[in-house]
Amino acid sequence: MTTFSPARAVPVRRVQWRAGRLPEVAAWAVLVVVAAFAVAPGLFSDLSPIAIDPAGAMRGPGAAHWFGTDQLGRDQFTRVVHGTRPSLLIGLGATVLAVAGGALIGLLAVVGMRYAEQVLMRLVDILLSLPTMLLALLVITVLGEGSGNVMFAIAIAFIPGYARIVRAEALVVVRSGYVEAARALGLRQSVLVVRHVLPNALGPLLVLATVGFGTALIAASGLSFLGFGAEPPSPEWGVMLSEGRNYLSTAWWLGVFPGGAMTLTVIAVNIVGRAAQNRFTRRAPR
Amino acid sequence: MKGGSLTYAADTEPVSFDIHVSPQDITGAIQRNVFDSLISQDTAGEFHPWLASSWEIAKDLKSYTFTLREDVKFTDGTAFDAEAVKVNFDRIADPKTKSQLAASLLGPYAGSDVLGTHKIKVRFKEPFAPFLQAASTAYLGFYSPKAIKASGAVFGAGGPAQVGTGPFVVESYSKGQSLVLKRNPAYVWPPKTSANAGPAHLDKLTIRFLPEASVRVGALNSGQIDLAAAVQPTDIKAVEANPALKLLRSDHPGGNYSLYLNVSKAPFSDEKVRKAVQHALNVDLNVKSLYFGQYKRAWSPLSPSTPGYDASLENSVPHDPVKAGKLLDEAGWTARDSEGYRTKDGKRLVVEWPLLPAQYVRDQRNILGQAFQAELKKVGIQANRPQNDIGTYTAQVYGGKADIADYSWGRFEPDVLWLLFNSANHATKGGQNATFAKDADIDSWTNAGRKTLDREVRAELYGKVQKRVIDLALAIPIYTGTNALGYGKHVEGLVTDANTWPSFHNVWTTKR
Repeated sequence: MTTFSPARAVPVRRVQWRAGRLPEVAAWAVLVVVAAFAVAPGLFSDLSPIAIDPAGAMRGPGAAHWFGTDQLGRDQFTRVVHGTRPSLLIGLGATVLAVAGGALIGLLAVVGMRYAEQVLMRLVDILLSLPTMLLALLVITVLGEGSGNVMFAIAIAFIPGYARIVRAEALVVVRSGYVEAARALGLRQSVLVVRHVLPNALGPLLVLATVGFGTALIAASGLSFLGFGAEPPSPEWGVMLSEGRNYLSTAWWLGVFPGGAMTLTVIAVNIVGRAAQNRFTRRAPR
Repeated sequence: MKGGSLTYAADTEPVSFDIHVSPQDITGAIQRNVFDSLISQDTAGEFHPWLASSWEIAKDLKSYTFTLREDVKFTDGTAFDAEAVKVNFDRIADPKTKSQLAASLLGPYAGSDVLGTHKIKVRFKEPFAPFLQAASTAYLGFYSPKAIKASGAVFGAGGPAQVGTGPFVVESYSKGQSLVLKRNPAYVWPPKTSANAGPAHLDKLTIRFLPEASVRVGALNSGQIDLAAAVQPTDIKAVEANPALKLLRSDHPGGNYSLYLNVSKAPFSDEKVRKAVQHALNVDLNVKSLYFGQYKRAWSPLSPSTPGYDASLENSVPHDPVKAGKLLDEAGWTARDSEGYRTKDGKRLVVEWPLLPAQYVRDQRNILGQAFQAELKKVGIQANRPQNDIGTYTAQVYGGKADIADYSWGRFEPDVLWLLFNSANHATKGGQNATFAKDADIDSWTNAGRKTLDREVRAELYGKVQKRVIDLALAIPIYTGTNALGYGKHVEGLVTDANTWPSFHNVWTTKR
């Protein structure tokens, strides 16, 4: 006992912890700022994101307009800040819907009857063979345009992937000892699924969903960029990028700031997601 | 001068390559190099012999007799004769062709009579003065009758099936990529006005389809292409500043880019509300700032480069939001709701202004629309801009359900006013009049303009139409588009025709 010296071991461990987790800390900081933008945009800018001022159009970044002004003289910083919420909401909503839908299909495939699994999983296979963006575009074509429909389209495009993962996880859980035991105790199928299979299969899914959220954000912005999503003049990052793309050589700030906000957010989400994934797999080795 | 090849980047790709079917500018602009017309029109509006060496116009303007050149051959070897003209015009008029523009250019076409191998009489049910101009467009160009028989049904898809008499021959087409044209070595029948009386100088002309403006300008700057269509106002300064590049600019003729107000239903059935919109929009400032002063602000529904333009309308309707407010008060829209919009009898003053799907939006008209949306809000009008698929858009605008429609209509002929405002051409009937106006004066003036070739009489008639449109606030002219063509210093002999389309017949390159 006395040979153990915590005084020397602790500083070493702390240094390792800091250096290794610096990106994660930075990512969390970015996410906190982004979340603050989304929750209370009014705190960061008292200008209106849709107030136009044609006389002051296309000003470069400066003290009066940190991110410059756009073609109609609207303050770009205000638009980036106010654009956070719609941009994030579509991605978040799509991820939640996709996870829920994926969990439902995956569980049904495992605990349902034989033919249910066959039908559901072959359907999932068919959908998986289509690129997600193409699938989302297909759904948009059927549903029509608008933010809500973009959310649904992305959710539907992402469901097959999640369904696969849930099924794989659930298959492991279903054959585990404790589920066998519960079944032997005479637990009803529905209770079994809700109380035992779902919670145990959900963990890895949630971690994956974090990474998936980043992908959903990009898909949402992509669809908005193509003009399917948010309706102008309301600010949204994809829409802003689309409106600024023809000015890259003359007014770089129109594309760089909304694009930068998007990139930073997605990178931050990915770092946090990967870190969570690493920790999860380390804690629960299989 | 002879030899060499050039690459031209177009901004849109034809949906249909069939000149008799497509209403698109790009189809006419590209195919002008492959197809000839009976006559040609210069930028001053004068007509000159082309495939027809002379013509006679009947006194009643109900028939035109053309004497054709005898040395003209299609590139498949078929001779160009009166029969070929008849086959082509009959094809256009045939409802089965489903022509979206050429048929309306033929107007009240009754038929063609072959009077000799090289003499043809084109008849109309009514007097039809605009026919000469129509006959000079690429849309009334001539396909080889042999080609029509063999593959007329697939002309729309493009490619070498398209056989004409023009200075170039279609070599290959790959959808979404490019169209390759090669020289027609036998070509010796250009219009008399052409600087080049023989075959084209270029061996090969490649037309690439690059819809992104920034990509086109980037490719031009780096020398990947030799000519770029539709250089955007944002990039014009940069192109002008580049010593290796030149810029050719020409204002679009025909109908200006305007907002057309649907008078067939509330709220624009009330002239006061229309006039309020006329005064509420700060067209000057917005056009100037969004287009960097490169586009001219428009005052008339007709563009200044079109024959018959009425310059007296300039500065006639000032931007005056206070007056707009007064007009709305007089119209009974006096109350305001919590969001600041005007109401009457508890109903909010809302106008529907559908937005085209993103891929069809040109000249950042969507951004300009946002500025106008904000200005309408200031005077208390809510303008909704739903963006749907093209089918829904067409149903809204052409079905008369929208309140505002916005478009321009290029054509070097004041008869475009008939297309845009005559009640016989309502959008519900497949026409271009989305104002749904039924004004007896406009109808009679635009009809009369079709029945005379007297320039002064036409100028007076069309001048009256333009004034009336502004007086009634049927349309709010916004800007006259400019076709800015950027090209390398090594490109010589480039001119644009009356439609602002580049003509490649006399173009050569000094780069080898």
